[in-house]
Amino acid sequence: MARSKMRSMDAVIDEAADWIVRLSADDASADDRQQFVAWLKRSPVHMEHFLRAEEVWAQLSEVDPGRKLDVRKLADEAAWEVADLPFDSARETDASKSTSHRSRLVTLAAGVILAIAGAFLIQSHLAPVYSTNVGEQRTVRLPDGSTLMLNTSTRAVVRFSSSKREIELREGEGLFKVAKEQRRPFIVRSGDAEVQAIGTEFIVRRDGGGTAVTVIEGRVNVASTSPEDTALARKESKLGRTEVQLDAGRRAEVRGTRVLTKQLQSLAPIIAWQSRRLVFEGEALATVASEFNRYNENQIVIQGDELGKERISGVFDVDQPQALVRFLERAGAIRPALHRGRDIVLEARTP
Amino acid sequence: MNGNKHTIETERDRWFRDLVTSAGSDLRRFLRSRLPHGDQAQDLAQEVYLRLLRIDDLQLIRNPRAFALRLAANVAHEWRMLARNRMPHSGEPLQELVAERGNPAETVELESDLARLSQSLCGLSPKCQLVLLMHRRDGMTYQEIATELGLSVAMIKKYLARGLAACNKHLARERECQ
Repeated sequence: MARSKMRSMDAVIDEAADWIVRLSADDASADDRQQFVAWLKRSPVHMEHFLRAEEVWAQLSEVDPGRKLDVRKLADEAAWEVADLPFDSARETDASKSTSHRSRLVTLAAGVILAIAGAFLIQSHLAPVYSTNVGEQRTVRLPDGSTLMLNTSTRAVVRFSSSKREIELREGEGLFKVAKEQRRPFIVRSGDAEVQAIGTEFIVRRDGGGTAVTVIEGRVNVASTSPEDTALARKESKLGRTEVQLDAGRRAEVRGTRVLTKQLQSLAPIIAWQSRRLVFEGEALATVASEFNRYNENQIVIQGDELGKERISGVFDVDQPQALVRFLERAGAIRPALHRGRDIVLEARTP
Repeated sequence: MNGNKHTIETERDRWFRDLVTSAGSDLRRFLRSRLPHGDQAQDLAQEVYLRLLRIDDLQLIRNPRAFALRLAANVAHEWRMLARNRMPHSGEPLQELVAERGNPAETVELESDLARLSQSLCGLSPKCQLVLLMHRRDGMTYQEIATELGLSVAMIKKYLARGLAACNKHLARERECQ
């Protein structure tokens, strides 16, 4: 809860900074100004962060009056970064967030000497972090020629070495098109799930309930690395972990200790986001609403359980929750929607 | 390259800075205030927002940024006056807002603000630091920075926005910890 609040605040801070930089440009247009006004009028929170950002922007010109920070030295340092990749500040300190995960690993691997843990920390410190905000999508080309397409509100850390290509999905959803390399497996970790591939195409989605993996082309291995599971599985199968092989058109869900798989009727609903579409085939309205909510600041709120169970089929634009609302209004399923701040409240029409 | 543009840019910058630092010193005080009860900056933003909604778009679009800042400075000023009239009954928090310009406490606050900002700046990637310093401290235009670094203007904008946002996030986290 607090985390998602922080994330939405981060998104507003990003937008405010974007606006200030855009409007400070020589070529800022009337169009820019108009859009900025619309943005500002959307929420008092936008106003707050605009004012704060404006203050910081002004202060930045006073921050180093003695000119102690050396531009040339910084330019030299900057040249060491991977220049062509649009990553999120390579030095982003993710240490705090991943501590629990890491300490668990360290506890598990009893006997790991401190020096190695230290090296591990440093390595992850410098690993590039790619991320997107609400509604944003982005494609990143990885050093091995693979591509990673990030869906809305996603964060991924890339750690490549000479022996493996490792990606940690911290949150959200990514489509991986893996370049073939026999000797360096491509591994995606997401919560308790571990996906291993050599050359293939698949989607990994992480949310509160767990991780779902869908294979579009080729084949991958999906395993649960949940620690409880390891103990349990050891007792039962001596394998040390649950692992399944997943072919194209199949989907696996890793929920803590379990890996569940099923054959999909159609891949369309799973891959539609690549073209910013949402495809539903008889999905419950509650699910449909939460899908829209992933992509938009404006949130659809459904009042009453019964309404949430209505089945919806159709193709929508991710940016147009209004289209769904209009569709439901016209179908006579709901009363005219109420707009409360950022919420679009839907209520069943009582007969 | 284009000397004229450069002058215009820095003048406009100076004008904004003046607005925020002098006419907007009440505003600055509000944005900085860390009062135990409720967040002054949020209340202020709310009020500015409501006033902005009443203003006709055509008028706003001419210079929305200055308009919003001006509104905010006005609200902050009004509130300070109100607070001063109510002073006899109130405690310390208000005193902070009522204090006259240029008093020592405020100078100290401003300096610690700058120190905090300088800290967040140093935590940025070298490229973000670099472009922010070139533009904000050294007054170079986006185009000049782009030429100097051999990057596109779009990339310069991206780094500037990312750097500014990262500083703001860092400061917001610090505010929350207090």
